[in-house]
Amino acid sequence: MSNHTDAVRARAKQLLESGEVTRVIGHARGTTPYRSRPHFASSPEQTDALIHDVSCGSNLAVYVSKPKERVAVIAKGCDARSLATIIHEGQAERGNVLILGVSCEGKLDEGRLLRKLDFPPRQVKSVREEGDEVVVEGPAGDVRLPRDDVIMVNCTYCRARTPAVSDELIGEPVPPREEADQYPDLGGLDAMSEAGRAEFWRAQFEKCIRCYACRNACPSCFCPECFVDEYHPQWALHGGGQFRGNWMWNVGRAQHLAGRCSACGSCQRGCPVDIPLMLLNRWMERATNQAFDHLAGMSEQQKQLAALFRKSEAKASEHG
Amino acid sequence: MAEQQVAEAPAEQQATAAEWRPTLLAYLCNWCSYAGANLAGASRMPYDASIRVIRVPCSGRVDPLMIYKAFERGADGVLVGGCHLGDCHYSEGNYACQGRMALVKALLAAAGIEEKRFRLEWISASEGSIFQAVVNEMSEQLRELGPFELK
Ligand code: SF4
Ligand code: SF4
Ligand code: SF4
Ligand code: FES
Repeated sequence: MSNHTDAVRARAKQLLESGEVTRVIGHARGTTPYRSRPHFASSPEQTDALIHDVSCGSNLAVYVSKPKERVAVIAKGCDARSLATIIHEGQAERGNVLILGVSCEGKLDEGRLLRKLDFPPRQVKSVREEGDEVVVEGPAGDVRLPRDDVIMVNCTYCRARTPAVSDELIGEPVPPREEADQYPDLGGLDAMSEAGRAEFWRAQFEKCIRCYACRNACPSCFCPECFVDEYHPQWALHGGGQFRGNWMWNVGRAQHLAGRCSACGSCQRGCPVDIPLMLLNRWMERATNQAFDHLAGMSEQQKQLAALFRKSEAKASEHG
Repeated sequence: MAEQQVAEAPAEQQATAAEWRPTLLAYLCNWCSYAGANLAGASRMPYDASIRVIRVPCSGRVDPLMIYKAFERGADGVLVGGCHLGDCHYSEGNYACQGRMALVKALLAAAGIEEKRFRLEWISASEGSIFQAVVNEMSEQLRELGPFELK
């Protein structure tokens, strides 16, 4: 069960009343019962709008950018991984971020959920969790769906269901999913030939409209000037539908997120054309996990991946 | 930078069925592999003419984007050459390079680019013959693989 709305509201209210933080970054109800939107509470009254349920998937670490005063962030495990990562990278003082951890058993994937319903989305009256099920209240009563069928696929192999880095925890600790280190999600790509993979990504990247929603949604994409916006050199040719440029963009993005991605899925959730960006992110996570024993944001002491290169044993050269 | 230097293959070496010559783009460290290439030349060791060299101050200068960009612009293979570990003139540039290139290899594999199209080698200024062997071997492998195209 991860409806933590009451606990989140109560704690947020306390924090603002006591002046411990100047703002609480959380979620509020979105335009439908299965959607949420970010909510920024700067006064005790504004905490009434906070919610925390199965719809609160987006990564809130993206709203933390060099805060001058202390802010609290309602952080699922993946948000906390992102916070630890960007704090380490100098995007915030540790003391200026209160990581209000919440345990989590997975957040909705809107597409997966709606495809399971045989009535139109506007007839969804409410969505709640009961045990291992997500219960959707529709025109003819409750529809019960196994949680794993309607949450983001990345949540089904999450290693941070209880935040690894946090100042407090709301909810009971939940163990990591066993699948996290087995990378079952990569099985499809693993089984393909090289030509098959090239073909697969060609079909995917061709769809990219270069909206950069993936970049905007990602806490680790904070560069003031992204490589894709550079003109000299122009790493990636511009314009959606331009396959070579799209290839450069998506490959470059995956490279830049290697060792810095929290597997939150926000990029993929934001992608309007459903490019399975998590496959690339997880592929790179597996590579850095295996070669450098590195997983982004899983501990506060951890070094940045690039710092491990210094005396890396990862043999990339043929002749030593 | 890469935009001007990683030019499309000149017309004369573009695929003609009979004698296609691959384009092997090489980023070579000024202090070692580039000097090694120079030694191979000065010693008149023949090596495959598929290679196109871009000199860099250190293998640590090679940004992974420079590898991807080379493939995007039509290189059939990419070679990165640096000083042996411990011999980098900036002491750790080649370690940084080695770590980055491990990621590049992983990502190229995910993207479906054949392993043999990319190589990292440590070649010292005195190893002209190793430079020759690497270039010849890689060119041969690229011939077997055929042209690379982001099609
Ligand atoms: S990735 Fe993990 S922490 Fe994040 S929403 Fe999914 S289950 Fe929760
Ligand atoms: S790359 Fe995607 S999954 Fe990874 S941290 Fe950024 S938004 Fe989250
Ligand atoms: S969100 Fe999707 S369509 Fe938009 S730039 Fe990213 S990959 Fe391309
Ligand atoms: S100077 Fe040659 S690799 Fe750094």
